[in-house]
Amino acid sequence: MDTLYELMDQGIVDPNGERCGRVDDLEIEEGFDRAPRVTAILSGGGAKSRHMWRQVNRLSVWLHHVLGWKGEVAPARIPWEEVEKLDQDVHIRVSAGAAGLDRLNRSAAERIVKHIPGAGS
Amino acid sequence: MKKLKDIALGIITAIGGFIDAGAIVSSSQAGAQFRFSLLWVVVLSFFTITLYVEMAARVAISTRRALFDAVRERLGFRIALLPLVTICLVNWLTIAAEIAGMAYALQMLTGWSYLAWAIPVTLLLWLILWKASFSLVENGSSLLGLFILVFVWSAFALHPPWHEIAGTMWKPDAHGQGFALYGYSALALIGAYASPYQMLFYSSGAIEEEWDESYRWPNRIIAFVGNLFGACVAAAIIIVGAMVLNPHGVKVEQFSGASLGPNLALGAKGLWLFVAGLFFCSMAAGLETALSGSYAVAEYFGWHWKKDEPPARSALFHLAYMGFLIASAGLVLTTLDPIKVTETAMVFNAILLPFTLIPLMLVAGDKRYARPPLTNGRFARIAGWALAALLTIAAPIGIVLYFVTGGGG
Repeated sequence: MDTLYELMDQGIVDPNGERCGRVDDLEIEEGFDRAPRVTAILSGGGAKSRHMWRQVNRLSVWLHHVLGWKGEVAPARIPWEEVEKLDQDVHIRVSAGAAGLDRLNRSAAERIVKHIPGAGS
Repeated sequence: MKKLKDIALGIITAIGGFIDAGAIVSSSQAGAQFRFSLLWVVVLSFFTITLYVEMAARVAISTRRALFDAVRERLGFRIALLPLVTICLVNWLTIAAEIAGMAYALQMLTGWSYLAWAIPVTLLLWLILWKASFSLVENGSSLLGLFILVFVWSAFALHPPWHEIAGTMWKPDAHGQGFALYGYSALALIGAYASPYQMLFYSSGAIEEEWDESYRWPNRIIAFVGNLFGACVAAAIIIVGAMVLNPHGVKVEQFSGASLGPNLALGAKGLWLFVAGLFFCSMAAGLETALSGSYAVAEYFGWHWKKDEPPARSALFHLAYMGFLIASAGLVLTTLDPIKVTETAMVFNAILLPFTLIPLMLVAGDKRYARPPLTNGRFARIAGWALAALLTIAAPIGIVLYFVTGGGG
């Protein structure tokens, strides 16, 4: 359980060395005759707020939509097999984009920021 | 050579961090009301801000993480939310104070109301943050803020009574105005000189500029020398206030009240240097405060951020400072007394300072984060916890004093 505790809130780093999110929640498989096992990391997309007061979660979902998130607001799920190594950060094998980790950032860029002159691409 | 340049520019930026709109108003007011008897606060604030900004950058060098990144990891989502919310609150108030400072400088220059200037100066802050590189934001505006050295010039021109200053600066003396107001003013000064945004900005700046362990000593030199110069300017503002405003019973009820010292000491050139100093010091602090708020939010949520990348790459980071600027401009446009807003911002900076200092101490003292030799040594540990405890005790007293004095009277 100590490992699980240490994992929570760690930064996530993709193969390009880009810091792209945090471990907001964990998917855990409990076994009858063995210790619990982490099966996936959940990040962003209301992973934290859905465990908080309903009003906080509603506010979080609303903010996601205001920032351009389309469809259901849900966390990015990174299967444990995609975790390459753990040090002070969680290093993953897939890029931030492929893992869906920067979805809110991309949504906000598309909906708002790219319309401002000088925003770049 | 690069390090020497970094040290020189860092010192100038640290002076800018020490002196902003709030520091100009609070220091002038302190001199006007209590003569030299609040000068000890400058010394205390110098030690406080030097200790903690050096520590914040040291943590960044060791962990390759900016302050709030490490705080979120160390304290977790829920507990770290408290310092985040307090930072956002004081930054909102502080940016409003800086916008008011810039707008008031333009009012003194043009005669048009500061309210007419609030939106143009906010747009200017946004434009600089949007287009300029990190080093230009960090160094350019602080360099222009050196106009505020007019107070040092004025102080020497007034031939200060050094013996009286040395004899009275350590003695609490309310000068018949009541110790509630004296305590409140002391707290406002601490908040003006030692704001949480300085630690956040300095720490995130160390990440932006990719400081490594070779910056251990440059970090110390910048923190010490830069803040020492800043403290000298702050002391000069109090001395000028004591020598010019106090004998005439002038209270600093507008930004223009603070200009009387340089104006009387140096004539018209003193006034115009003051206007330039107020404008650029407020601008530098406004830029740094807005950016530091963005850094805190982005680091807390783990968003991608890098000032020198195209904004579309760090969209949420850029939207965060836009949010701060809009909210702060809105506060200025409510027509609340800008001096009251500034003083309130400074007092809340001090009251809420422990919410930044305690997480910083926890991270800097944890060998899993700040690895030896970059972890807190004995001096930093004892002095850091002692100052954090002192400010934690002062915080509830500050809230009481805020209501007792009616926000400074």
